[in-house]
Amino acid sequence: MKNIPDELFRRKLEHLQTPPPARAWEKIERGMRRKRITPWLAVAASLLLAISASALIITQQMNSDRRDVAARNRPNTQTTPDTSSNKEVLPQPEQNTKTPAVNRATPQVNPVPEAPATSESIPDETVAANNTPPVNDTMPDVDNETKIDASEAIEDSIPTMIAEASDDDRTSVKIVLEADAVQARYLKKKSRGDATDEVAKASGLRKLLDKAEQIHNEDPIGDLRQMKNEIFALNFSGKKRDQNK
Amino acid sequence: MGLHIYRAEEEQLIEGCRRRNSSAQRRLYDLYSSRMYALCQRYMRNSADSEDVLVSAFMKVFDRIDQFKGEGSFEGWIRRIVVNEALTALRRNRNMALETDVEAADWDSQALQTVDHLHAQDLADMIAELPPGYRVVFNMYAIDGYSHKEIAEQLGITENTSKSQLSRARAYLRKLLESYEVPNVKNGGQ
Repeated sequence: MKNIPDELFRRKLEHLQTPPPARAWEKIERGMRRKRITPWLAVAASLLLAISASALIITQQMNSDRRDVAARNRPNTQTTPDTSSNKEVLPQPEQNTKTPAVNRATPQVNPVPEAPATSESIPDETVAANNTPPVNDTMPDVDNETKIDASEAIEDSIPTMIAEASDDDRTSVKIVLEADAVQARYLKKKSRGDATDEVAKASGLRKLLDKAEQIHNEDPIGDLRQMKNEIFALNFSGKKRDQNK
Repeated sequence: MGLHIYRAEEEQLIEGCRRRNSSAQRRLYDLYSSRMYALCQRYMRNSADSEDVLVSAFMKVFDRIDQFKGEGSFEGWIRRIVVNEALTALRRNRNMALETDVEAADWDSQALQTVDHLHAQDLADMIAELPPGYRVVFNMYAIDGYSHKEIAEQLGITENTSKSQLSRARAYLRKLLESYEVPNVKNGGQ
């Protein structure tokens, strides 16, 4: 008897129908449409995220590469100005014995065999540096003793020099200069007082420069000046004789 | 024969819904929405909540139609989804008080005979007056055929609590029926 209300309610309510409001179906449609679009949106969003993330990584990598290149360029740009500043420093050899060493090592870039493949891409700074040594060599104020001291300083203090030159855009050149090679090839030529054989083997330019220095030191019109002085002296004595008469 | 045709039509509808055919979905909705909305109203306190439960339940039906393997009745499968959605909404709204003190009342056999003629909507209104905890347990056990074990699992309560709630719900309804019937009897006597 106690279960009778259950039966009554089940019988009456189990199949009860109440029409829902019309907007319920509209809500269902809207929700279903959103569910269909959402996966595509998720795929598109994840694709976009992946693309932007990879672009960001590539950009950062390129920036870091440029920073590395710039960092490599920095020592090169530090040595290159020494070339120009050396012209002012050279007349005071006692204070800057090491500075000329850098100056002499840097310009000898082309003959070193480790950087032949990229010789075309050597930047203008390096080319300019290659042209500097004759200027330094022809400087008349530097005496032989100073140059010899400078070469000795190279042997003692800098066994190996690394000069790196790079193109700003892509390529970089790494040049390794060993002190012995530099000393053997280039620096000993400048110590002309000791080098008898090398004078004979010197190039035409070298000979021309040597001749110019010799002319400068020897006073080529010295003989003429002496003859002039002698003539004047003779005339002077003749005039004196005339006055005495 | 008629049942066979009905089953064939239902299978067509299910197949159309599996293919995400919107006209098949609409037909399925038209077929079951009134019954399911009445079910929602038995569980929820107001029609707005009932509508929300109906919408989310049918979206789940269309979304999970592939999970229906044809075992048992399709309407029963939909009913289960609707009831689960209603319970989820009740849990979310935290308005399902599981304990309400109501004195148990004996069922008057005389009243049984007099209430039998009540309309379904009158009975539905009586259920709507029940406290939430009682209403859910009574709906699940007395009308939708859940066992106490299933009710306990679904609501996260013990079976004894479920039995107790059902007992108190019955007592509450008896009182409502008596109060409803007395004027009618008096009116009928006159």
